[in-house]
Amino acid sequence: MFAILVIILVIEIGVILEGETLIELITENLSDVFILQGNLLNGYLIAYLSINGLWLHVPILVVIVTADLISGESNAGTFRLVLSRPVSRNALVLAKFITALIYVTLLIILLAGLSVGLGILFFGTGDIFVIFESINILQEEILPMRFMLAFSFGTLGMWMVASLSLVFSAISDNSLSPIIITMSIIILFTIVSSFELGIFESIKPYLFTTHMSHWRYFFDFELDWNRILKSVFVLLTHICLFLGITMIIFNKKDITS
Amino acid sequence: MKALLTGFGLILLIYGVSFSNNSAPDPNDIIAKTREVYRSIQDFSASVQIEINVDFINIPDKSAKIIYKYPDKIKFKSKSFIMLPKKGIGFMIFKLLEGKNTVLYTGIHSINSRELYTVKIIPQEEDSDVVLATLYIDNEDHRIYRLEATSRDAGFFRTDFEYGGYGPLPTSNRIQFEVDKVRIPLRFLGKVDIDRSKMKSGTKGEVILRFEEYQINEGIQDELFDEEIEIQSE
Repeated sequence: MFAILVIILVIEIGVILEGETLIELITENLSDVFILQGNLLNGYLIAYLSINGLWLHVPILVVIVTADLISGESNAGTFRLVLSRPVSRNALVLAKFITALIYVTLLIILLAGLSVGLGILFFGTGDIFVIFESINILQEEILPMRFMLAFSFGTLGMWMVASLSLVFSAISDNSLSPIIITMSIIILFTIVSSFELGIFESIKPYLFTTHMSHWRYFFDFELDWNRILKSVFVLLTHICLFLGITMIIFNKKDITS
Repeated sequence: MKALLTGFGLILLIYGVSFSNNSAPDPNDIIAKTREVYRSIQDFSASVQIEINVDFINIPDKSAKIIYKYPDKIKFKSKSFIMLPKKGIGFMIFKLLEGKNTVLYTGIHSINSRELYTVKIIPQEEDSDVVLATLYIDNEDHRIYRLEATSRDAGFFRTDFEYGGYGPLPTSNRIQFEVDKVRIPLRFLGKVDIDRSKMKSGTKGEVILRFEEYQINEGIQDELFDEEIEIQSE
């Protein structure tokens, strides 16, 4: 929580000091043709910029905790005691999985509250100017719903990160390896998702990182539910797949040695 | 015989030119009559709906309030963010008609089955942003139905006017303009997937302003124009 608070505060202070310059840079050439009137430097824009900057860092905060959920207990040897009780291994994995989801959800709620809340507190509300496939000016009235949907989608993406880290947590007996492996995969896939090269274009649609970044679809001028639901489906499929793999691995895991 | 024919031809040419000069309307007279009509408006306020049609910009229709005071004070007020073209809003006509100009009558042009005098205006003031303007004026009501202008910093633009029962004040302005190559620093807004071909030079833009609830010549205080942003009239 403290880390997120500090990062958002640093962004807010930066915008207080250089906000006008930022708006001038964003609207640069547009203001040669148009007179732009209204409060563009507002809490919603700051929140949007904060999320854009933070979205690559949030998985780190997720993985640090969730990668330790199974491997930590393996390392400490507490499974021998826990599994002596009448509880199945699948139920134990499911409990860990639900705990991870609750942690991730609370983390995103905190991120949403701080980024939007502090943004509005310091800069007020207003329409936002978003560049997504074209220049979109979104009305203030629809923004609370758009942010809520974007954060909900973002939560789904982070649930997927937690699920992936649980797979490696189930394999490993120490906490560090699952963190490093999960983050390495996410960074590698994110790099591939970012490249505009033909060889990567064909595999991009199959990478979960491509779909994780689709929270931006909620800042399109008109919501395209077809592609949003496609990404939701891909992420949910990954979550179920990773949960299943975690259960299979944990069921075969030697907890006696 | 040849000399006689040449002389006859010359007489016909002189007569023709003289006749043509007599039948062509005096552009200064056209502008003077139009100026009189527009001078009847000392101030007004109205509500305005703003519709922006530019390929790479998505913005919902906006509403605002406009206030104007003769000859060139214009201001838009809106609770939300609005975009307006810098040129061609229409009320630059007031200033254009009052300026020191060279005017030329160039003929009759038909727009929407309406026969209109075409008058070219070359502003004489050195600081005038408009280099050349063409006005399409109805000789009966002396209102301007189309304005085409080339300005120093905004290029060419055209404004078509529709009128209701508010004298020279339009009920609708359709402004067409050139949108220069737009350079947006995309890195500030994260990873984006933008069709850059839509943002190249030569892209045309259109803004439609629809006016209603005019309140004319009710006396608008100058102080109202001091707040916030004032719109350039030229």
